[in-house]
Amino acid sequence: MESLIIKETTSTPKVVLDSRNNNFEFQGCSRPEDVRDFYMPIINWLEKFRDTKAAVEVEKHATNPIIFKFKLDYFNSSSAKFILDILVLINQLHLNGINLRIDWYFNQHDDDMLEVGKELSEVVDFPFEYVEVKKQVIG
Amino acid sequence: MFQVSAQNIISFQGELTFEIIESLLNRAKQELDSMKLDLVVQKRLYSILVESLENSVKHRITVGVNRNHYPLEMNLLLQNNQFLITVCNYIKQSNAELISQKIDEVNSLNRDGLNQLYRSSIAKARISDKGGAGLGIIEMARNSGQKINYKFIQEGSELVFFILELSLLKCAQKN
Repeated sequence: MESLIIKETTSTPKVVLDSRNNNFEFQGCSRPEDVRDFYMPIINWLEKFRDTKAAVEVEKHATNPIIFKFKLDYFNSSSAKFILDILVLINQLHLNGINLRIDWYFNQHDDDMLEVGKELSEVVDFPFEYVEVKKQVIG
Repeated sequence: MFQVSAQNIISFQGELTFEIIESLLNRAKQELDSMKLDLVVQKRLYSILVESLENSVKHRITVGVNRNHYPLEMNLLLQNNQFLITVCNYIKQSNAELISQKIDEVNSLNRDGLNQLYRSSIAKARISDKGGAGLGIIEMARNSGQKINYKFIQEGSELVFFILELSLLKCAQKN
């Protein structure tokens, strides 16, 4: 399946959805001018990943769970809605029997980002792994 | 009572466009970076600025010249260990009641109530034509930790100047 790679800007995160290399990552700040324009290709990619055999293929060649890494420094409220949609799609992959994990990164001084992760995990009803990092940046 | 003079961090009066909001947010980020605040406070303040300014540009309306106010008036002050954020813009009179209801609702809730409202709202949120998810006011209230003040100044029969005031303590408090 074709990869979806989006470069990071000051207002949009880096996105890597690369099933060939088993690399799935969101990193940076998210407050796009047009949130729908930015997130719809990502949603469409994940729906395709869910609905074709691509996820099964990735899992077959992986020794460990597929890991979706969320390394977000900041996201605005309209991005939050789409991030929830992404998490729902990932949970659907899990419900389809795909062995996967969600790693939610947060700065050691940023309790709010940890809390947001716990909150989204609860809303989507899927447990996250929380990864504390030692750096100080915001979006 | 002893008063510490206010430190004006950012002040702007002028046009309301996406480019101006972008430039104000970039400037705000640089100012906040240089203030050596707790990361949590820095990010809450940045979030309040993003949500309030994005809200103003999403709901902006074109107003003619010779008005009493600029299309966008914003201010970020530090006074008595508290950040004061004011964002003002013109809106349609017909939107004032809805905004007022939303702010009154979040002001009536405590921290747990706000978190509950956020969770139920994000689960059923739909992105509007203007690109909003209807979560901005809840998010501002959660980040501020204090009541939101607002005022409408009537200008003619269909236009109001909306004044939104938020505050945030300089020292981090657990949300």
